[in-house]
Amino acid sequence: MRECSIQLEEKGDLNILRLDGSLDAYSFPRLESTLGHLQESGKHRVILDCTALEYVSSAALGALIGFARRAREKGGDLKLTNLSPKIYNIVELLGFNKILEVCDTAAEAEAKFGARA
Amino acid sequence: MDTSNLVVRGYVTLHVPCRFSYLRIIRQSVMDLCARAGLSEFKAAQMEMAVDEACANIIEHSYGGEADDEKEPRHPGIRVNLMHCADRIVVEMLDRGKGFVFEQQQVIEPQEYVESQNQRGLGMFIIKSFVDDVSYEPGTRAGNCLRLTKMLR
Repeated sequence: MRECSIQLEEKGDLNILRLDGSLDAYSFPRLESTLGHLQESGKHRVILDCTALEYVSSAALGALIGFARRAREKGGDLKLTNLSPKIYNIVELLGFNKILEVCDTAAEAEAKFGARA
Repeated sequence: MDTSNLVVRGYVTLHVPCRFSYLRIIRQSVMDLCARAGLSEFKAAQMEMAVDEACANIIEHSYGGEADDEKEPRHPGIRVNLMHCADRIVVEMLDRGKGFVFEQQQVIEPQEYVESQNQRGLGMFIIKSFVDDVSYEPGTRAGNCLRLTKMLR
């Protein structure tokens, strides 16, 4: 189990966040801070690449839902991609797959955004 | 749930500081024990999340926050007993904080959580719904004891 790292890539008007490791009570303030900076900069179209995400806590899921809700008010969204079966199962058990859009791949998420790259 | 007559096949005890950065070690131990017991990946992930949320709650609510550098050498921290029994996994979390009235802890359902403004408080729902049994005994000789049980089948 690895510590969390967050990498940010700008692709046109999309921002892709790549998560690696565990998002728990220790590391989630970093995610919250990153999402806060994006929102303050007017960047409301975000793809969260969860390929290397090993764990996500309720607090981190809360931060994602909060971001998605505010982003939608500004015409944007936050889409999750590449969830492992383990993480998807947790998201589904909590019913959050009905709140947060989950895509199989980043390319699918980009297409759904209708990327204005 | 009385665990005194359970047949214990494997037993691990951790004593961790009152720090969020140690949650990863606890989760890893839970996953390792669940794998040894043959629990499915999905059930193990539920147990992992319930224990993680419970320990985060203990740090935040029973102890009122993390131990600082000055107090840490004398801080009682959290003792975690992980037991692999014939038909179940049992995880006990013991702390010497102020504890809480478990039955009165607010359980926020996911839908209610989504509609709330502050996006906090889902942890108790996860603790209670992701495992098969939850019990809480405040003020035992070993400290406040939160016990989570997940059946193997």
